Amino acid sequence: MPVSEPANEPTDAALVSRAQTGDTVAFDELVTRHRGKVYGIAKNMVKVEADALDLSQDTFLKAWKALPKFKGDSQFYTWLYRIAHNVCYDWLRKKKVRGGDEFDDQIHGDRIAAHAPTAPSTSRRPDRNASNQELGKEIAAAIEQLSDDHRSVILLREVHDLSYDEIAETTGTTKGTVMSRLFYARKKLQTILQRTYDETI
Amino acid sequence: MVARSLILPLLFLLLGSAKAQEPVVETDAEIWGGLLYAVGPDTDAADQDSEPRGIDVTALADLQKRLAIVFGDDKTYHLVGEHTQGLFKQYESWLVPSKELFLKLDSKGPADGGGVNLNLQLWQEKKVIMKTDATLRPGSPLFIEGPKWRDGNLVFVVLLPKNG
Amino acid sequence: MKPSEQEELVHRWVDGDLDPAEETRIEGLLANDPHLRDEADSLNSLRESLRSEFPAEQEPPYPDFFNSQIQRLIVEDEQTTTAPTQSPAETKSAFSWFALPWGIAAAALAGVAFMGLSRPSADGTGSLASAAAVGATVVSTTYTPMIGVTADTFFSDEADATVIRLAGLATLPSSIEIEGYAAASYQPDLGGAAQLRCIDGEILYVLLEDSQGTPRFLAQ
Repeated sequence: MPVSEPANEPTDAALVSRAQTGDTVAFDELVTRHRGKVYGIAKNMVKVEADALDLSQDTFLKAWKALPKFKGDSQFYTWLYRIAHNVCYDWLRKKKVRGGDEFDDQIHGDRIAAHAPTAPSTSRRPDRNASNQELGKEIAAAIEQLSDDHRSVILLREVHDLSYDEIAETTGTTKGTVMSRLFYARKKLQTILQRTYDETI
Repeated sequence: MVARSLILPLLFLLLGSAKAQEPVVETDAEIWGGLLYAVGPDTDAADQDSEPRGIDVTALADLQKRLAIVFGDDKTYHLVGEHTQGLFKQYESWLVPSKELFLKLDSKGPADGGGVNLNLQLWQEKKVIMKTDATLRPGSPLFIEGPKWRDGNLVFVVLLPKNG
Repeated sequence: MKPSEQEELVHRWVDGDLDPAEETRIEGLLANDPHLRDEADSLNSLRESLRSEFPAEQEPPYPDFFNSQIQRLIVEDEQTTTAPTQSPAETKSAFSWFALPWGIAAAALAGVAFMGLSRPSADGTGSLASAAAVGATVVSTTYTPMIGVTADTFFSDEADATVIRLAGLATLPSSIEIEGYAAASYQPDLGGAAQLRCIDGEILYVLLEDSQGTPRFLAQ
């Protein structure tokens, strides 16, 4: 999961120790190592480049200030992801009118039936038939229909490859909540994408 | 606060003509800029020495001592040129001890706790070689190590003198 | 809405969350149930689609500048917290990403300098945060537009001075004579031209900016 570090370079833990003594050069190295992940999370969550840049920088500033409290119980990058997630999530909450409902299963009046065949058969699956660009747009539009809670969980799992436990730590929830949100988010995306495909044929 | 950018057509002012009216333009501070030439003691650079005019001799000696700490006491630091300039609130200010290396300053207003916030652009002829945002504190110099020239190199010193 | 036990197993399987016994079980189930296989395929396809649309890691634009902005925020924050009687510098709002005077396009072509903060050396040079703490001049962002030129910024405790060292500058030709002045403070003329005079009053030159903001000296 973390970027593997060449043998002759200091570990994250070593850089963190130095940064905790006020060494801004060490912290700068940590920024360099992890800015791609942090900006990636921010950009995926908030979309607009300028906002993602501001939130990423805010994340690192908060990380610097919170460094004395980092005890090394988790990996530095997980701890950093948590800060990034919180920064973006709080920003989205302030920006949007609606809150993040845990179970919003109203899709244009339809309900997701527990055992409905939401997994389309191979030959009709939109992901196989649409061009990459079209599919990209569909995915982007579909994910926007998720609540902030569901969107962040599915991005952290599918894109950022965090485990359930890591997602729980990042989002400040439990493994059980992560799993149920993930299940729901997947079902909803499948339903939206299937409907999109059905409407175009 | 953004200083008004002065975009001018190419005008040729007739020098020696009657002075244009000079409205008094408000400033945030007065800044001293000095161009020094740092060179080894064996080199004959006496012709580069200027007698300090805008700065006290003692203050210059103190600056030279501090320059030696930073850049090495195996050199002498000759004052080539200097310019004391008011930092305009609403306009850019130029600090030109020499045409070879000079500064454009943009005041961002007084700094809390004393001093002034500003943006500096270091120019070498027609090119910007560095831009920086800074807070100048009274009596606290900024040393900018510039290009090499002949047997030494140029150093630009920016100083917000202490009041009085 | 609760998944069935088998659905839950499939989801956990694609997420790598099963123990060996559960792995064996799901493999058996998948072999015999085409709907479950479809579900697994669909989840994997969804993941692929999400990954191609949303990259996990994305370098921020102008990454060196990104770093230097963070350092600036740290210095500003420390100035605010170490001097509680001071209100936040009014310049903070002027430094937002798109209020920069030099423009993003220029940054794309240039080397953006990182401030070498907290660089230990024999004369006790320290971080700009310590400069701020002692009330010294602070440089918060340095940018060198010319490729190959870098700036190293530090505070010298011993000299009690803030320093910017520029590396990579072209050497000035030996043939040129550097003429220094003892220039007095000028007031801008109509339109803001700078008519510079020597301390003695003699006109040295007039400095004008052209439409690109490049200064031109009109000699006497």
